[in-house]
Amino acid sequence: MQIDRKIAPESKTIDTFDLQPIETYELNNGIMVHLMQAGSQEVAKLDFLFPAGSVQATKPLIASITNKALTEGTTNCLGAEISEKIDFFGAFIGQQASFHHSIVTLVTLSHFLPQTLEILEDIIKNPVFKQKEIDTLLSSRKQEYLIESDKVKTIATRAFTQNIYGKAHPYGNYVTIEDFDKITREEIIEFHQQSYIPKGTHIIVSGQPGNHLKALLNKHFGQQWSNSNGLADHQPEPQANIKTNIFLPKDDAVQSAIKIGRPLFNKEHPDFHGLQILNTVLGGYFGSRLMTNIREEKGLTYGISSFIMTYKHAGFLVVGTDVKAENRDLAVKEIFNELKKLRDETISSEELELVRNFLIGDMTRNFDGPFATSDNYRGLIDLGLTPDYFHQFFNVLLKITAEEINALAKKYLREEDFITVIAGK
Amino acid sequence: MINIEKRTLANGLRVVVHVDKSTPLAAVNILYNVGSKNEQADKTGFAHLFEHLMFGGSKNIPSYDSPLQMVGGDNNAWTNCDITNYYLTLPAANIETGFWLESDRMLELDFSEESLEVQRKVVIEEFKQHYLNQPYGDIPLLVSPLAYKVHPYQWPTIGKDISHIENATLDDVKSFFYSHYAPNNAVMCVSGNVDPDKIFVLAEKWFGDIPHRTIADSNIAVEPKQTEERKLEVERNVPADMINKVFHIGGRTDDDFCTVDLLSDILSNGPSSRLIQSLVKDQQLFSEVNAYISGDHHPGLFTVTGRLLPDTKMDQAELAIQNELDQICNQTIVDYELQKVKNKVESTLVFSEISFLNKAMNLASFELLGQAEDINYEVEKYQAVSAQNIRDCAQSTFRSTNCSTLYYRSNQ
Repeated sequence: MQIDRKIAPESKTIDTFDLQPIETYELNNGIMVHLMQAGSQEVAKLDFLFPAGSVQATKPLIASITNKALTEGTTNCLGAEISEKIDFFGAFIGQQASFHHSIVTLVTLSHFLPQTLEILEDIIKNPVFKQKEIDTLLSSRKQEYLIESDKVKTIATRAFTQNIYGKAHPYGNYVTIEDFDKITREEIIEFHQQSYIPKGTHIIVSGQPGNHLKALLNKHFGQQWSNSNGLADHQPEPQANIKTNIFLPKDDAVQSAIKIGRPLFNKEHPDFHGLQILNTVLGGYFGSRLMTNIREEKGLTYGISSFIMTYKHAGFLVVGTDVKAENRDLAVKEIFNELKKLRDETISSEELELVRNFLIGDMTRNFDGPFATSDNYRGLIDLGLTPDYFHQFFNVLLKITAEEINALAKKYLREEDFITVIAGK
Repeated sequence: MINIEKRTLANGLRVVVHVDKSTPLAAVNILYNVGSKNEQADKTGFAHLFEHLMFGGSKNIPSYDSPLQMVGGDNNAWTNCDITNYYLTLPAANIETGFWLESDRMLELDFSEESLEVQRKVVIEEFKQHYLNQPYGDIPLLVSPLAYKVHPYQWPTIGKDISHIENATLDDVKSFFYSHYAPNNAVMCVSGNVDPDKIFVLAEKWFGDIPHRTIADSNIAVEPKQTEERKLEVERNVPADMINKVFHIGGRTDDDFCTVDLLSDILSNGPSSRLIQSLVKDQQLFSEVNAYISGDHHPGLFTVTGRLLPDTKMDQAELAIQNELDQICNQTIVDYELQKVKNKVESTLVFSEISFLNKAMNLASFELLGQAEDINYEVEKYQAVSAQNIRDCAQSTFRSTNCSTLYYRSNQ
């Protein structure tokens, strides 16, 4: 069979976006359950989102230490016994504190759901927070903090967020080594009582949890186990003195970390979807402008990318890369050149089609299967958004023009709005 | 049970297909049987550098990435000491684009001085970013040559020295390609929402005319048995001390592979495992401990490593690890504990089978080492391991003359 290898095979453009149906219902106490029942394996994943994030906490580390310490022992069971049971069922418990929620995740074979949920109930409702366990967690977290503080990438990222959100709000990521010595057991117990509560809690279930899910969840989590109304949310204060250039020297650095970015808004802003697409052109995929110029043409770095970070009350766009010191100025200059090109020139129809098709494929990948879908959906609940967000993005993606992208670049990629942070040499 | 259909083309390319109708996507995974163990001692890091060059355009297609992105696809690759693995995912309706791209770069790369020049720089920055500019990043560069004196596992995949990458020539690149990249030295696995009969037709259409090539005989030296305890001490500008002990074990296809894997699970898989409960939670000597096996094709390593808390002395840390290893050598573990780690192996396998891309990678790897169908007998093999097997394995592994220890001290 003779084939012409120079000609691409025929392909289809995908123009529909199917989001798996999400069933929602309330438990007896008002906890909202979001169910994505799909998949061919008999496994289930349950994410519990409690209104117990670092924004609700009164000082640094409280939210994350409280979250981690949940599995270290209850009034009924030692920490070691909890671990033993969970491991024996082949299950996994994940714990993570974010800004507006603390998350406890259970991944389990579906037929062990009754047993593993019973353990989870005990962990959530009856932790004892022994001083010894808190101390163990703190000393290990302190060491991780020190190791992270040694990385130029972390140094630059922290300086960037502190600069735009200030030191007082958790978005600023300002934690000092002294903070590790200021946490008391009483504060942790208090924080747990006020924020691991039915009010404002969401449970996201994905996979094949079986037919008795609702009854099981009501049995373990459907009572009014606390009357707390939860802790207050608060927004970052606008910063008066944002610096446009920050240099943080580190003598033994082999490479310098560069972060160049600007403050933005949250996902609810009308320009947000278009900006996501503009960001993809700039540095959001392997074929992006920044990767092509700075890695594939100039070989200055192993990787460069830009991304938009959004929180409930704010957001930012940032370009990040690691380069050797003598390439630092050239890399910075080329990053600003790429911003300028997007302001000055309309992108070609070919590049726009490529980015459009890539992002459509990316959406299919991001929503492939119940677990991937629930991960994306979880991000929306954390921000207080509905799945309409995904459909709106898809509609913008299908219709956006090169002129609209250029208009966004002129509005949001102005050099004077950007902050440059460099850590290293 | 994972469904599998497979064929071998006349040129030796093995094609494995797994159907998963729960996804609208498909994956094409191509594994080449070449890794850093196939390199010469004065040209290390080559297999990995070559992986970068595979994205620089092929004989008939100037760009690999753009046509794939144009049909909604995405791709990446990785190299280890044994294999180089390339994978892409895309909407299943556009699967032929994947065949077109992968077959052209198997046929012939567009060898260009320019692409080599750029990727040399990129890989050097990768070397710095991951190994030199990270706290503890140089541990693999220190441990491998301590444990291996003869076998090429003594250098890490990134290479043992930046100069080897700097000195790579276009002739080196060409000869590497023709001696390792060939249909008869590769396994292709396609998974996802596909029809096996159509996949075999496409495989024949795009890969059928790629010539069979003679594969370089690597003559890989066998590592002699270690007979003395080895130690290395370094001081670095890091916040905490670390200890890293490695022991020689067998290869991936050896009979005791599952036993040694379960042994590492008993020590540190999951929060209830021995090292975590004893050394982190109970004695509070370490902030982090880990035990794992390399899973390499040739005889590999069993690593036990820990990061010390500020009040822990190095000899105290080593003794505490040694006590745990002695215990597992001297006392047969109870059935309950063995069943616990077996349950975890089984559930981990079920969780990993959710991803069609994971399945494609695993199937290609099983086909290379024997046959793809073996993937369905893994759990049985683990279930067959006895408590006595574990104890025997621990005794033959955890001997001081089989051990190399790296003391990585903080100077802060």
